[in-house]
Amino acid sequence: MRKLYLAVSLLVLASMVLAACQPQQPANPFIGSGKLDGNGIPPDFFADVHIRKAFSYAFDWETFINDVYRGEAVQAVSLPLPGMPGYDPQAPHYTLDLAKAEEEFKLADLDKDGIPAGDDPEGDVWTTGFRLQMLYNQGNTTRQIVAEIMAANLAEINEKFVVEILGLPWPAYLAAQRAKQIPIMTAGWQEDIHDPHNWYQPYTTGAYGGRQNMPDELKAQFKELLDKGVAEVDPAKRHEIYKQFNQLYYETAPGIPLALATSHGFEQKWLQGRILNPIFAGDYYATMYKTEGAKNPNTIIQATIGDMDTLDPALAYDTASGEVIQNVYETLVFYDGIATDKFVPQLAESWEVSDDGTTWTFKIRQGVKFHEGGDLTPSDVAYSFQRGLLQGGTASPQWLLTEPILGVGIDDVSLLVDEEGNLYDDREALAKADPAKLKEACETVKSHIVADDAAGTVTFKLAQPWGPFLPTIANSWGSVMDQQWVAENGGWDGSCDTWQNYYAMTSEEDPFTKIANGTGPFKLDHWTQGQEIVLVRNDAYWGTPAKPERVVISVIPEWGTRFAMMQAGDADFVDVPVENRAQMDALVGEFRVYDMEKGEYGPVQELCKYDGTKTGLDMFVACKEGEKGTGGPFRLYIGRPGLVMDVIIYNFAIK
Amino acid sequence: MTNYIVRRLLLVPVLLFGVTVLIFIMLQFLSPVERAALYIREIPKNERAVEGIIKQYGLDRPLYEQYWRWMVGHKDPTTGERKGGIIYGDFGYSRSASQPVFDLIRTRFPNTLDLTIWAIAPVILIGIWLGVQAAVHQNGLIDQAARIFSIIGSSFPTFVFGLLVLMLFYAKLQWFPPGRLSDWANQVVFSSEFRQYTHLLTFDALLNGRFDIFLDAIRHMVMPILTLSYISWATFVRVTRSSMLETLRAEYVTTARAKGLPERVVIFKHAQPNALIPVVTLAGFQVVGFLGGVVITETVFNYPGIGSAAAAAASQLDVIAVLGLAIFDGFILIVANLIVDVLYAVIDPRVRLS
Repeated sequence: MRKLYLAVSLLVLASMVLAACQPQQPANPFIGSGKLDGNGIPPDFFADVHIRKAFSYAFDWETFINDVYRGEAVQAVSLPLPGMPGYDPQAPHYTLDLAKAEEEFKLADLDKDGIPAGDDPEGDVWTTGFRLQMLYNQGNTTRQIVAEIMAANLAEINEKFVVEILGLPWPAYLAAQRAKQIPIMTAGWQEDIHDPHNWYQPYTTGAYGGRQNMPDELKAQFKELLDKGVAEVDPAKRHEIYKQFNQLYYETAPGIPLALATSHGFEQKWLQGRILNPIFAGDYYATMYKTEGAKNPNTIIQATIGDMDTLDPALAYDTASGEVIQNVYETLVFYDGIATDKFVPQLAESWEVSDDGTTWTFKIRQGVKFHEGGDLTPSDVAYSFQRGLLQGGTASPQWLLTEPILGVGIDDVSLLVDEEGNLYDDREALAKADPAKLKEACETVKSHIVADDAAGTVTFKLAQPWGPFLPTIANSWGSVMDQQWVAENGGWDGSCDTWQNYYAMTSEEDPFTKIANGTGPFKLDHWTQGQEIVLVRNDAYWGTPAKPERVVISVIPEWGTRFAMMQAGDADFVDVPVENRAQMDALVGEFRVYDMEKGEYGPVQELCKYDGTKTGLDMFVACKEGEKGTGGPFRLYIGRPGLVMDVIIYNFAIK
Repeated sequence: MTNYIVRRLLLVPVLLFGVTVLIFIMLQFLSPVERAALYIREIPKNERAVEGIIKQYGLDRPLYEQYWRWMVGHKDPTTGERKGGIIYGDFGYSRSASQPVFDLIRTRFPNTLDLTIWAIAPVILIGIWLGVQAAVHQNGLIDQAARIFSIIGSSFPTFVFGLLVLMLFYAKLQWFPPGRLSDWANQVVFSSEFRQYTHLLTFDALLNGRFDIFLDAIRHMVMPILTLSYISWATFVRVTRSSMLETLRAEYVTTARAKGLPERVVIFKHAQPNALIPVVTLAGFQVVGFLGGVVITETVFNYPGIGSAAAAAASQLDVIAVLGLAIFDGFILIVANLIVDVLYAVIDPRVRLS
């Protein structure tokens, strides 16, 4: 026993010593010497537009699409996605061209002597070469392959161009990224709303733009077009503005848009009526049903990879939470079938917008009841949005609403109390702020969202016109809650004296993380955290009642188990990781291919041959007339471009 | 004897303290941003989110303050309630399981305990039986067969064997499903008429008089039990066999034979009890191992126990949950070892006399 004490105390001592002498953070390890000497790069390496263009010419999309997506992707030519204003297949874009890349490297002037590198007698990047590290977070193979392609092509242009590829564990990666030390990285974005603004903004002035240390002058150029574009309500006019944006993005080359992966999803053949809308946070269950002979005929079972975070619509910002919320709660407007840009009334019966585009008035549906019996009133609608804005917090999706309603640049309600941004996420400090100012902030929020119970309307007074206002309120954060129920269950009661106590709520302390009371087609039956979420049909639903009686969302992290559930028929659809697709492909019996022209999936085709050695659509051969298919149990949906994109971004001023 | 137990009991808090200090110090090798990264899975859309987390969890405070805060918690300034404090059982909030770690343990541990109770009998009894048979028929057909059979089991990686079992008995034959309960049984268990007496599902089902639910629960445990048994038998067979062989060569066994006792009595009355002393230690370790959660088996069969919770937490970098589960496992290990030690002293007088 004495030996054990000794061992433990020695270990403790050793760890303490080690912890105490943590080495001082050395100079940025990712840019070598930090100078233009062939053994590193200067911190402003990427501030030279020719370097950025040269890198853009050195990327190989074809290899990337084949290696990562097995051919199931298309090159992204601009930031917005197909079908959006600003999307233009003919937009100027870069393609692999090593000769042009060489030209651009020779035009660069990194020693700033006014002479391009190609003609510089004293030597510049072309003669000295450079060495830098391209980082990815360990385990992210896509980002690793991006780096490998870039490194190989640059080495081919000039053997003195050395890109080392380094995978960092996630915590170290985030820390390096926060310290703005990473010279070049792949940044992914999943859209919040289906609108070009949600693509242009993050990659220029928003989340990633900030991380790129872009010069203010360049940011200002982008911002001017951004503000103009988002304030324009007419899609045709927006398209023109965004075409200018594409041109500017191409000329200044602050990033390299990579590829749009296309869909490749499976379900049991007996499942019908599923709406495959990629903007949905997961699935909308009300329309689903099963054909005769299906296992568990009245229950839809989904086996998913991870659990949701919270049921509070004002806080939820992950797709797993959004999926449950969009089936239990409802929004003023909702998506029309599989269209990502058309809306149908849901809790609003109709709406109108003023000529200047700043005042939106929604007529609220009457006779709608919450699951626990409360009546839906316009006040509930206004309260829900007010609550969301005031609850704010940077981990929540509320920035999407604060900007249109309170003004561009205001991405959190705390900025109404302190413009400097010292109160972000700090409830303690906020509570200590001047009470008059707190009250004023709340009154400001309330003045922008006004309910008129007598007229049955809710009016949003936006700070400026906002093109994508409908998509902004059609997602889970636009859900309507019952004010009385929220107050009874420990939430904000609507008073401007207490709102600060609910600011920047986290899912662990939020009373509405585990309970839900919406107006939607399903009620929450129970949520066993980490295991399953069960919904049951709301028989008092105001609209067409849901077809399934029960929905079970099972959390099954292990792919093998999910795969076995599909084979046994105990799951109707599952999350399939890209690397496991081939296993499911082999069991496909019929498939539907997305028709880009029509914007819908084509007719069901029986599968006659699956060839895993091919890529893309060539893997699947449809039956001709009279031929008998493979009879596999699954249906495959293939070919719709997804709403996620990676972009390689540079750091203009590496720290 | 009492003295012995008291001494062992006094050691428990010391060991637990050591465990917490060690785990805490290991975390300090990370910078505040790196530790904050453990609370988020992807680069947050808002750049300030990381600062918020650092502030919220006090990751930038001095070391002793952080340890204190971790151990006894702190007062929430707006509500005045105590938050955190592992000495109160508050291990923090698990992001991967969307609930406090304490609740995670409370809901998951009974399942693991249930599985352990049902798995331990086939694991130990069949293992010992095979070992004894092998020893008695040394180098005979039974011996060779038992050894080959169990060696194959122990050399199979659990996840491969588990997946094979899953593919055969579930995906193909559909005899035994994964998970904990069928959906219909779940509906009953979640209804108000089903009373949770022990939180051990099989026992609650019997106490509620629901034999169908008991059977359903057992049906869901067949595949994990099969996997656990097959991969653990080899050790039992080997230890029992060699211990038994050694005992059979002991002089008192020869004496017993010389007295003319029938071979059955010699083996089962005289030799076996003594041969099993090392097996008791082994069985103790096995129980402790099962209670700590059988990570791969639970994950493959989607069995909602401590092990699958730990796997989910680790794969999602949910360090708060991993820490809480590690401390809980440490606790289980210490307590279970204490029990094994006491049992050991009971069956083997030499231990308590020394």
